[in-house]
Amino acid sequence: MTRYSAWGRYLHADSEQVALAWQSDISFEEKLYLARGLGRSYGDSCLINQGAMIEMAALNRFIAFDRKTGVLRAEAGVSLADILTISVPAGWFLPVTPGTKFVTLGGACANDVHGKNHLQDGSFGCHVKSLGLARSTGEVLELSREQQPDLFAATIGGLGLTGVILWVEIQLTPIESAYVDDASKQCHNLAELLASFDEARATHQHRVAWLDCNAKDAAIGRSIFSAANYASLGSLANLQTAPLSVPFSPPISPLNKITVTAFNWLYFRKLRAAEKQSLQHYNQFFYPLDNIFHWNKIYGRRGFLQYQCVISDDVPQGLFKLLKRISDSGQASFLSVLKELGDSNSPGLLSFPKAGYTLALDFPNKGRDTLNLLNDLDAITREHAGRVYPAKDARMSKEMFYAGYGDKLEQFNQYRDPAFSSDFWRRVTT
Amino acid sequence: MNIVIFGATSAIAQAWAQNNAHGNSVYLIARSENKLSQVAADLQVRGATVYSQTLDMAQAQDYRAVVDAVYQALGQVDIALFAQGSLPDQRELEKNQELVPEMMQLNTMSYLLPASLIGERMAVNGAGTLVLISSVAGDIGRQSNYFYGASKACVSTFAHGLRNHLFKFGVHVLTVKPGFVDSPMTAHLPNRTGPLWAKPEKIAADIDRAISKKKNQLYTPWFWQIILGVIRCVPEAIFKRLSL
Repeated sequence: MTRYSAWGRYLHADSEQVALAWQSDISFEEKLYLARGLGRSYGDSCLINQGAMIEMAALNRFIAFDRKTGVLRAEAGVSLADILTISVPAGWFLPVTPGTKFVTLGGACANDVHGKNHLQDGSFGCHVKSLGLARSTGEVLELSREQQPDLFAATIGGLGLTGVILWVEIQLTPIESAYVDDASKQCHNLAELLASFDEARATHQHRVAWLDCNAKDAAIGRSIFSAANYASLGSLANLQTAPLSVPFSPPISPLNKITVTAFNWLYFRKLRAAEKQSLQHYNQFFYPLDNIFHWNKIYGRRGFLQYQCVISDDVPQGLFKLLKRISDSGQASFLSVLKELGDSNSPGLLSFPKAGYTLALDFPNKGRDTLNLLNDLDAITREHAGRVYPAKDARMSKEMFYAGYGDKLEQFNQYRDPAFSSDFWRRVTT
Repeated sequence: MNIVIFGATSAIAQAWAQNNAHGNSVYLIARSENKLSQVAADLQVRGATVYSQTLDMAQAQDYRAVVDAVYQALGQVDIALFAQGSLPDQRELEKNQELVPEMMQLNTMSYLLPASLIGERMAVNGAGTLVLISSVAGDIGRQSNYFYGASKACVSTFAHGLRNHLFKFGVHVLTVKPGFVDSPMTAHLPNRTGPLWAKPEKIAADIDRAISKKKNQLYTPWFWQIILGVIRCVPEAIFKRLSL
């Protein structure tokens, strides 16, 4: 048995290690399976205690790349970072990217990841043309919107529960340079922030805000708002900056209310002027944390919990209540990100994005206090027709899951492969 | 750069080739046509010009013809990597001796013969690097894998002599000695995790560094040099009683 952890280092599982070196090697016995990519899910959607973990790392071959049309086909273990290494110099970027490029193609599909451009461009699944799926029956199927569309819909955002995704074909986005034009500004409160999102909607493809979750009262929503478009100026080179690496997890986390407040204060004032325009390399704008390998270790041995929800109804009220509850709790949240989501035209049945605003936050694991706080956040989310993102979740209740995804669950269950499960699935459905 | 890889479908060879694809010409040699075409497609997308040839190196081959074909396609060879091999079960080999010659063909003969030929041609050019993947198992004979260890000891000693011979011609020979590598070769062994187990990507990165630094012998990861150093100091009177 091998010990597996999730990115939050809060939940762990012991599973049998099943390595997959070639697509044709796949075979199934009487076990419960789950495929694993780079393990960037925060909670237990990438864990299966006492089951068999199929490690996809060796299935990392490109299959075909048409440099003229931007259509790329690769094995599911290929990472988004690998794709960018060969696509950017050829003038192509990922149509949708999450906050890290260290996720696999399979993982990006299984979680139907989204980025800072969801309103305009949808989620990852919107750009998947087809994929290959291995089922425990021994079938290896090619799925798309035309071929077995229902199973395709269950697999996109399906958390790996329909089988093993073997390969994926996606349509990349054309770019003229590896840089983005970024316009950043300070926002002093929530109203100003939401107005900034509104104003930039028509002119900027990527919009995101970093929030200071310790702000109180009238300053709730204090943030730095960034809006960006792909730039025309700049080369198509991949810039390698020297990465830092957190070598071990400290016995006591250096993150506490004091250090985080200080960091937030400094970060907010980093923008010396109220507004700033800059040309940023894509690594800087899309993947700032990727330069610190193993940044998750900085939370210490107890790990951390990430909470990401979407607020759909009465967004200003809902966001205000969330931020106030967090600020009142005094539980330092280091990285808090806000993005706007649109109506999803993704095929995914269990896809997280829906029209509204999504807030993502980290909390150091303080045991009961943290869990109680997150339950309160769940309640607020529910009041505002929202839901919680499975890829980040380590503790939502069965009721909360059903409230968010219940309408599609019956349909999803028809396509779930009974030989596949995860600790997340067992937690929210039994 | 012009590169030839023997055993191109092995885990270490694939990882190394992925790092060394862009802008290079690569000649791939392996047994399975299906697997070879997958590796070729991957390297092509990564920017390599790819040639490939299926060859069952577990059977005796005329490597003169093979090396001729490589030079015909590439013109010259800058790096030759030898990564083919198998790790049969020791007890199996003791019971069924017929399996031993096949293992020796694959692990040893298919290294010595083409490496010698390519070495000579590199010498004519006055440049080139030969990389032979041996193993820490070749350093000492252990009761748990001495047939395999012997096949690798042969490769190590051969590479040692070839390095000596080719040095005066400006050709470099690197002997790579990995420890435990998590790959299909070791997939039948239990629990391939823990600090002693390395990923093929790690071995490949170490090989890259060793080539550029013109190292003679590479233990990868580095701590195997210490482990083997200690084991070699154990007096035989004691070692023969151990169950390593």
